[in-house]
Amino acid sequence: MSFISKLFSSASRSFCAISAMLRLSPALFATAMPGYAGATDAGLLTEDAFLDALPIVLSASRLPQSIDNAPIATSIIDRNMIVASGFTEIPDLLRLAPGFIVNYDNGHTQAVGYHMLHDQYSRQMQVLVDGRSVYEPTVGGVPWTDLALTVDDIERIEVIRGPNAASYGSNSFTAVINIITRHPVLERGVTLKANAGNNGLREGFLRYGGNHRSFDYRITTAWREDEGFDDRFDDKTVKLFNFRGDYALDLANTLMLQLGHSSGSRDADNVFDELIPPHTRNVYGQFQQLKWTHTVSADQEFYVQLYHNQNKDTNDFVTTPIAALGGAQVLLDERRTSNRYDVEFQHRLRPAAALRLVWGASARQDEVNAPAFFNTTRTLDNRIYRIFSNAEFAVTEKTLINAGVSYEDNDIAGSYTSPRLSLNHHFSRAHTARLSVSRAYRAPFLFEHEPDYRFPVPIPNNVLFFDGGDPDPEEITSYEIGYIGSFPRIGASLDAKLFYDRLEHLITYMGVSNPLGLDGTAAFFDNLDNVTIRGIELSAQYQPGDRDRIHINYTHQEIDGTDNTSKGQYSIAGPSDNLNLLASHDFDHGYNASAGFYYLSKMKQLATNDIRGEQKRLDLRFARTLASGGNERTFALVIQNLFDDEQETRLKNNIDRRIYASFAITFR
Amino acid sequence: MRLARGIAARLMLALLVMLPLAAPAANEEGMARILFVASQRSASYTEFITHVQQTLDTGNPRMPGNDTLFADDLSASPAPDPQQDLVVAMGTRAAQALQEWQPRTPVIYTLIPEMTFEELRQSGRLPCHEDRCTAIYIDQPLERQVRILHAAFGHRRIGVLLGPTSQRYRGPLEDATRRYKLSTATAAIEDAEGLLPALQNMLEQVDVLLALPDPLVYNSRTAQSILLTTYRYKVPLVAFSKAYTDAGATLSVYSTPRQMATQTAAIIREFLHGERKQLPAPAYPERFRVQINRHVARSIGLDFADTPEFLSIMKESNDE
Repeated sequence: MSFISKLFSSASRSFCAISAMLRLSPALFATAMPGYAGATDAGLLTEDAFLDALPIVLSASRLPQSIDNAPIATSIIDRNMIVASGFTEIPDLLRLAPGFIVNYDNGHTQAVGYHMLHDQYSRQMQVLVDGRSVYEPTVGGVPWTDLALTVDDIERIEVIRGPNAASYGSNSFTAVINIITRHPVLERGVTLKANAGNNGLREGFLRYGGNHRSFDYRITTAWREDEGFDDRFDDKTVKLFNFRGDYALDLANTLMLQLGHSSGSRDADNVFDELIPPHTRNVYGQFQQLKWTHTVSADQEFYVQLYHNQNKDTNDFVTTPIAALGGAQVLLDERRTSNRYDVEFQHRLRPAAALRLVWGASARQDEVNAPAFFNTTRTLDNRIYRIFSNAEFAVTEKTLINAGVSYEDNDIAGSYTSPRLSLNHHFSRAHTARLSVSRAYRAPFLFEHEPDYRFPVPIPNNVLFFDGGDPDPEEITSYEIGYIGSFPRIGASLDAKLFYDRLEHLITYMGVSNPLGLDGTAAFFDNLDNVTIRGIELSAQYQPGDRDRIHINYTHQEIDGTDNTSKGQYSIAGPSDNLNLLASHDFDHGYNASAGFYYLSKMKQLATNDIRGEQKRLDLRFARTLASGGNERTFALVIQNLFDDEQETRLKNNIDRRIYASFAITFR
Repeated sequence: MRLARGIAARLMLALLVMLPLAAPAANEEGMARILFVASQRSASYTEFITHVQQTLDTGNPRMPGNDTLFADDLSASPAPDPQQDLVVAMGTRAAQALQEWQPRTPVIYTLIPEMTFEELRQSGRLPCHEDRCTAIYIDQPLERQVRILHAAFGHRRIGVLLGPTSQRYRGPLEDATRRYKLSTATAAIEDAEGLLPALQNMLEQVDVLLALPDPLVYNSRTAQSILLTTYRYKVPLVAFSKAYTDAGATLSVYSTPRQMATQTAAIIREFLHGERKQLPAPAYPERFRVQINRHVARSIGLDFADTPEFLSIMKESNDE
């Protein structure tokens, strides 16, 4: 979908922010427990060797003991859940996290929001892939389809449900999504996978994993095509390649290198404006990432990381005849290229038995070339410098304080400080309470900062978007009272939180009269709205035995918004009730069945202020895995939206009932 | 600060050891008191104490009131002989603190590795007089580990890395593997630099790696490399703590502080209310857990489906 088409739609939008940092996962941070080396001064073996925790290397686990020490409610979507869900697109996996809303603007542009999904640019969350921030810096949003990553590359997703800019940088506004890919040591031999389904879904996946001495690597290439929504012109093809290599230089030093490339075509239409004819865009994405980690001990580690992301979108098309121009047709060229370069250093240490610290610094340069959006062929850039520190202090054996702060200096948004403070009290090993308060900012994106979009006709009053002054960063203040309980006797755990989030200075655009405007009006971005969200969120897991797993998440919330522009009403941008449930059972002889149920009460549609009714979706997956020798074959049948709920999630977007079959084979 | 802490510790100590004197009436009625000495202020020790207490309380409302000291407090100041009927020393540092203190009360040493207990006892300074002393080790008997390994993997070649500390297991290990007719390869590790080459060399020759605790070989710094390397060679690692399976080892055999607490409580009961009022001989934990990292096991092509003996050991050990 072209930019201009969005402009003519009645959708509200403001564009996304920048920046982010990775932090070592809270899980890892919390795992290195009290650490003596397991020996006394006299060289005696002590019980510490048996009792101390270790950094988790190869685990698909939900890391249960660490979550109750995390400063903010955290959920893990692990490999088992990913497989059981039957989802084939990465953003859909976030339906498995509490309070998340996933929607499609069209068959290839997805949007994800936590508690609220205001429009198609999910710009208020940080999204990291192995510590690499994947935001698109021009207009914002995450190019989910172009990440050069497949669902099968993902080991787990850690979802931090709250602002955590102190740890993860300025986009860590309503939530942080940490996608962790599979370590190459887990992949050996050749894996082939094919999916075929009834909306034109054709997917092929080929992976080779191997090693040379202490260098483990995997190479994945994949191809996908589908026909998107029935009533839309939104077919896509995706071709991607990625590589990850991990080299252990010695006991203390490791190097990780990742490379990726994706390309494909995207059919685009505009159901709101007949000016835009159906046409096809081409997109390209690539990234490189290099990370060196030096481990001194379980309590002390350094890393240095470099990465580069590039996104390219060639989107040019000729409009339908425009009556006002005497039936002339106009070429719109919305090509854009963005580059992000980032370097980060981090040091984790434990200066005293009760105190763990992490601190670091990063520098980032975003470069954007998008002539239609900024009315210049010049490349624009934005630099962001950041320092951060987090401390975990065990006040007593049962009480933990987490405190973090980051200071960021952003060329276009100025400088700001984001603090976070929380207190976790363990009433016992199984019951923990948490109080947390956090503030974070979202810096404006380049297009929010200096838009200059003109309709390409040689008349003076051709302005659609103008630079109306620099919007301030959006600001969130979040309060949370949480409880984390584990009930090992019945194999259950519960995470509950009461939350109150105040979001201020939200950036939206508004049309105003402007003599240079195409029809006497033009739009600009400003801090127009404030929102408060309060509610309760529950997340429970039940695993009665090795064969059964049940995950249930439920959120009830109330949203108050100022709704100062008609372009997008925040107060209806989230459901009052959000429920999801995933259950799976392993039968004998390699059979497995799973079911996912996803419910959202009514809320506004994605691109408009029209209300859509409640949405219910039931997905089923049946699979059989046969293993012989080192080889493994899996057959699966997945039915999505079994009851064929007809609710449109956006004008003309309904997933209908979809069925696909899958076959995978691994030769080791 | 240090001074203040010292005074506080002294006061506390004086109060604690004197407490029973203040309640002689209770003592006459058979309300024995136990003094717990913990090596550190951390969850494993607290959990242990809580569980001992709960087990003793169950069905016996008149069971002892207890006191707790930490090894640091004891070493900070000399203390009078405890008035409690029994001391439970948890961990190595607690045992060392008792070496300094030399109480004449009977002692149960627990949460302590077997070799460390033996070493301290052989030094002659550990308060441990005949039937007035016992131990419940934290580690597993080698025979048990080899039996489980045999049940899980059959007749496979076992590799063991022996560091300066675990060298002492060499003899018992050979005895245990001989009993199950398993062939063993061992490699001696003398320094950290030699670890990875020796590990790689060993993984070329063996089917299973059995980890025996040794601070030089298995520590939080080496864990990641060892786990990745064994995984690379598709050789399952059988380890000695829950942390190892959580982190990525295929299998672990270990006893939880709770399991050891149950056993300790039984000994306490027998000692306080039994007829002979003496402590048994030092022993390994009776109960243990076998934990599999299924994710790792599956990735290296193991599902244990056709090892009924192993599955029954696992089921039994995990039914608590």
